[in-house]
Amino acid sequence: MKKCLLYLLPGLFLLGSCSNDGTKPEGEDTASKDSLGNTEATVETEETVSYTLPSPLQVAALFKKSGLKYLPGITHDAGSASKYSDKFKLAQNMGVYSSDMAYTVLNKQNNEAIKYLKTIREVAGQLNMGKVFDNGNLYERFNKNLDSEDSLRGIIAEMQMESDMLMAENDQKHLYGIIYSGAWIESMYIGAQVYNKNPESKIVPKLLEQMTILNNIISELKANEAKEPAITALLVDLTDLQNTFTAIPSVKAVMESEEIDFTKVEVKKEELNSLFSKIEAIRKKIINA
Amino acid sequence: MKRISLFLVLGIAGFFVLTGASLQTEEVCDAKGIKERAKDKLDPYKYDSGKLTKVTYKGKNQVKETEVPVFIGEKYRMVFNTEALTKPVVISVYTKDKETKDRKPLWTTKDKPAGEKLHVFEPDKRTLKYFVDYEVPAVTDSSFINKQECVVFMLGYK
Repeated sequence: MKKCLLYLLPGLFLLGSCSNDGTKPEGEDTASKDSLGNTEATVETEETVSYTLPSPLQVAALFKKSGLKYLPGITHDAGSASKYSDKFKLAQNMGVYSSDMAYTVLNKQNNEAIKYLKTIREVAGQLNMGKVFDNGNLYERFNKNLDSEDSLRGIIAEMQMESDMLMAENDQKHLYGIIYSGAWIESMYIGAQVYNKNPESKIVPKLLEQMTILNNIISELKANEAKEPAITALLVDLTDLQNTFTAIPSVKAVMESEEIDFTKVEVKKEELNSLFSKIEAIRKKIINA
Repeated sequence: MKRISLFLVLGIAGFFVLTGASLQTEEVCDAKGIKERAKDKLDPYKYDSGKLTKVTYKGKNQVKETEVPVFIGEKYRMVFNTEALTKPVVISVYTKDKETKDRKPLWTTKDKPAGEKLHVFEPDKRTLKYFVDYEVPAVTDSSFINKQECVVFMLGYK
């Protein structure tokens, strides 16, 4: 029996050590005691790159500056949220609805905007992010400030900030790229729809500039692929879109130049159509249950 | 005897599990206050994006990099709140990522007074990306090993 106990002890020690590994924060190593006396420090570079992504509100504001008009009926149905059951779909569509809300607010479609806000609040609750709306009574303030676009923009910006910080606090960082991918695709989809209705608008350079964000979205999603299996299929679609974009000769030329200026890029109609049809197909996959 | 041995084994197991737990990262980060004070410094810029970066001290130096995409021709303000950091973490903004040799520093907290905790930088380069590096110093004090603190970064646009 004594012998048996002696064998068990190292195993138990390992058990104790394993529980530490299981709870260590993402991307962090646990330093060993041996390193305490190490005065010649080395630089660690593994798993230390992260990304920020521009808010749907800023994207919508940039599009609006370039002449993006309001087209009724192109945004996603606010009443569709109940058909999404898994967290991946919910997160992606929370992003979609965020872009739709930004688009409607900037175009003074406040009745529509309230519907999106309500849906976002419900979806946020299902994703354990309901606290976003608790801080600063954002939902109530939004409803009370419908007459002031500037106030609404301020409240949406605050919501964005609360979401960004909460995901980091709650160790839900993997949701960041998923939510954002939905938001970005929806913004691009809206931009493409408006362009199709009015090909003379000056929105093309802004759409092309927005395409450069895709690289960051892909990197952010790749970093979290192990946590959410559904990311893999999304990455296939987004990488295909990215490859289509970077293969456009005029885009390739501007990206390699010192002074990047998308207003000087001339993209052929069929090249734009190819990008837009891929965006539309990805958006369809996102909003379908 | 068998029962005593079983209690002994369970007791030892409990001890190691608890010891393991005590070796886990000790987190000290009052995110709410930190982000509020950073947000105040953004004004009159509107919040665009941000990052709460958790820093875990180790026996080695570390570099954590955040890639920040921006849009050409837009005006931005970067705000960093380092009040929750007890060690001198140097924050720098670069033109390119840390793997690129010819990158240029645009701004750094390196020579800022130690007591200055809220830092503001308004970049004006025509670029699509900025790179924010956090240089986390190595610690030799065992009480700091695995201690986790945080720094808040916010990007505002006009």
